[in-house]
Amino acid sequence: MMARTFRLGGVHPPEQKRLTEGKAIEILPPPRRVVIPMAQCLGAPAAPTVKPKDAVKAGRRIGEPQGFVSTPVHASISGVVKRVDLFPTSVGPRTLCVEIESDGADAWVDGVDPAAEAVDFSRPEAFLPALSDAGLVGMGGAAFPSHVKLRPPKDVTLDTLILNGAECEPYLTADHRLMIEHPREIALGLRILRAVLGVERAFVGIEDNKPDAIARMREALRGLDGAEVAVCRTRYPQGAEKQLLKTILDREVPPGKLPLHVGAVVHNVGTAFAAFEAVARRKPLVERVLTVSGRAIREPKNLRVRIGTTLDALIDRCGGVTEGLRKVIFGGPMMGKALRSLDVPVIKSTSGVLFFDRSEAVLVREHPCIRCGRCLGACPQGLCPCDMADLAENARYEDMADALDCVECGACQFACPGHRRLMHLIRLGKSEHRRLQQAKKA
Amino acid sequence: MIGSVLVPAVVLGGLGALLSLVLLVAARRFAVWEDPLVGAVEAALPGVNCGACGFAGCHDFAVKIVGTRDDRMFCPPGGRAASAKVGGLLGMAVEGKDPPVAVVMCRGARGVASFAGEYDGLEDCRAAALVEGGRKACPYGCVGLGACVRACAWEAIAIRDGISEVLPETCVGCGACVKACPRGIIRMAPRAERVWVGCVSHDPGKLVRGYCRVGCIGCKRCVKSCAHDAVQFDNNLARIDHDKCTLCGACVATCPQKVIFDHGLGPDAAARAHPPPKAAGSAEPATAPVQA
Repeated sequence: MMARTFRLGGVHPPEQKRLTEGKAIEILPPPRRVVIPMAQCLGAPAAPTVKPKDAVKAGRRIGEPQGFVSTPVHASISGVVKRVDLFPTSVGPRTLCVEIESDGADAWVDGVDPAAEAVDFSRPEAFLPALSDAGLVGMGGAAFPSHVKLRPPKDVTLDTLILNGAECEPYLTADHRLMIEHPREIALGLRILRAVLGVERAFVGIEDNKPDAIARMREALRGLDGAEVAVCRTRYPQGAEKQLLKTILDREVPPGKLPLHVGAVVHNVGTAFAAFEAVARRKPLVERVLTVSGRAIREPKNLRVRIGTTLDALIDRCGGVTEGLRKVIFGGPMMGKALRSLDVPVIKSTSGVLFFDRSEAVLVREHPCIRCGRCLGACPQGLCPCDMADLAENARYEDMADALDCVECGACQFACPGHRRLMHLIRLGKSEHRRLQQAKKA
Repeated sequence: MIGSVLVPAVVLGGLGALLSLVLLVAARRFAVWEDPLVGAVEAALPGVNCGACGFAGCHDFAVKIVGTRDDRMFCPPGGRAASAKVGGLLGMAVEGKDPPVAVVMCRGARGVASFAGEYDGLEDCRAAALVEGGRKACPYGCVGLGACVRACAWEAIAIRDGISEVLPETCVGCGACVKACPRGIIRMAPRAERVWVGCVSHDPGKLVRGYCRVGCIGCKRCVKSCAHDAVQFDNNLARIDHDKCTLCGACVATCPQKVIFDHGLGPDAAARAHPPPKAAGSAEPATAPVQA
């Protein structure tokens, strides 16, 4: 079968997945200390419910959600709360966090059974409360609270669930390994999410550069009515929600709308795995699988780590960094965020930590636009990146309404032969345009 | 032969005459009367359309002041000179002031503010704010990528040693830099308000020391040194109450971090209208020479 793909734009950056795709997920033992940010999802940060010197067990709720678009936060290790204070994180230089020092026991709160395998499908109404109590967020990188997507407004009718296993970002192999090693759990997670949404049809979208994951997931989904693997062509940004929808269902999400407005909900395979753990094991989202890669780390690995583990613990486990380290990125190289400190914790949305040396972190000198149009050809949203960048360069932010449709995938900048900093300019324009709009409203 | 010249000349000439007639009629018919004073007032203004007065530009300002005769309207870049000229034209006294001046509330130049990493994104403060705020470790101070410099139509602000520096002789007080700064660290203040705390960080001293050698660490020595109760202190940061400040310079001299500074632009203490401080018996002279 010919692998399907989306219609507009897209690029194919060097995959660089060789470094880690053959390596089984290693479990990083609970670290000595964790720093758990209260802001781990899109929306309102949680409010801490513990104070220094409190003894906590792993899985204990330490942050209450503030509002509907917000998720609870849980302790990821057992120990004693040391400080509730502002720490540098990948979200910002000053974020409210709870620091816990381990007691070495790794004791879980009552009710958590980290080895449970079975899901009780006779009581599907218990799923949604379990999922929102577990603090589930989108694990692909955006960290959108999952329970919001699972409780669609009354006026939309859903017919399809899509699990996103495309993992189109170069370097990252965390979802890939998860699909190879835990296909059964992901399939159970799929059934849970399907039951919550009340839909029959489900797809697992996987890029065709992961044939082993496709085979394993097909096997796990055998005998599951209405669920199948959708093989997608390897093409960035295949894993973007809107592009995946276009590929699998041939539906287009209108500007400013969400996938649920066209009858579908997209969740990451990692989120499905976490949903399984939340329901079967009563285990909140306190650990995740991530890829540690790049040429400046001695042993690239896929690791399962507790949320709040600081980067130094990851670096130790991966044999240390080389002297050539130039840049550290949270997430993938296309959309991830460069860090300026190694003293930051892993959060729920950290799909990878990349350590780049000079050859990977190279920034080529910028040249003027030659109007070649390659950025237009690369844009999966059908926008005109070069014009938006020109507007931003000339501070004409009020004319940049188009930029609000930009998904910030960075394909334009990748395609630009002049190496213009298109992405940064568009992001600048986008944020300034939003600010102007808000100022106008006020 | 001659016709090939004459015919086009007559045709084009006639056409031209006809169209000019149309234009003449249109100009008369649709003319909008404007007070000639507006043009004269506009000519007396600096003409840079900076918007500091609160109107869309110099013409708008001129229209408003001619229409309302509001003597409180003020063109900051024009200062007293423009006010006097405008007043003369309108035949009334227009309240004149010295233009305010921009003050940068950060002293974290290269070498004193610690740098957190390299930044090779766009050379713009707002763009840097999207990626952890650029090179400097301090999350509050001057980013040093010159958004204010690009906003200034007068070339009155420059980046020197990684920090923006106002050239007070050139600054006209239009306030464009204040709007451009994403960190909000530029204040527009009367020139007479000379003493400032060059830091906006409310962090506790220990943290401030970690990222800057010229940040306010909250030691309160300035508060104790002030005989006029002019140094306020809230939330780990000193603040000067300019109504009480007598420019005695005690806080400037005593600040261990050298955060408090006197830009030395306005009138001296002796020329200020403040009543003499009640601490008359104190050994400290109220008009001590100010350390620059």
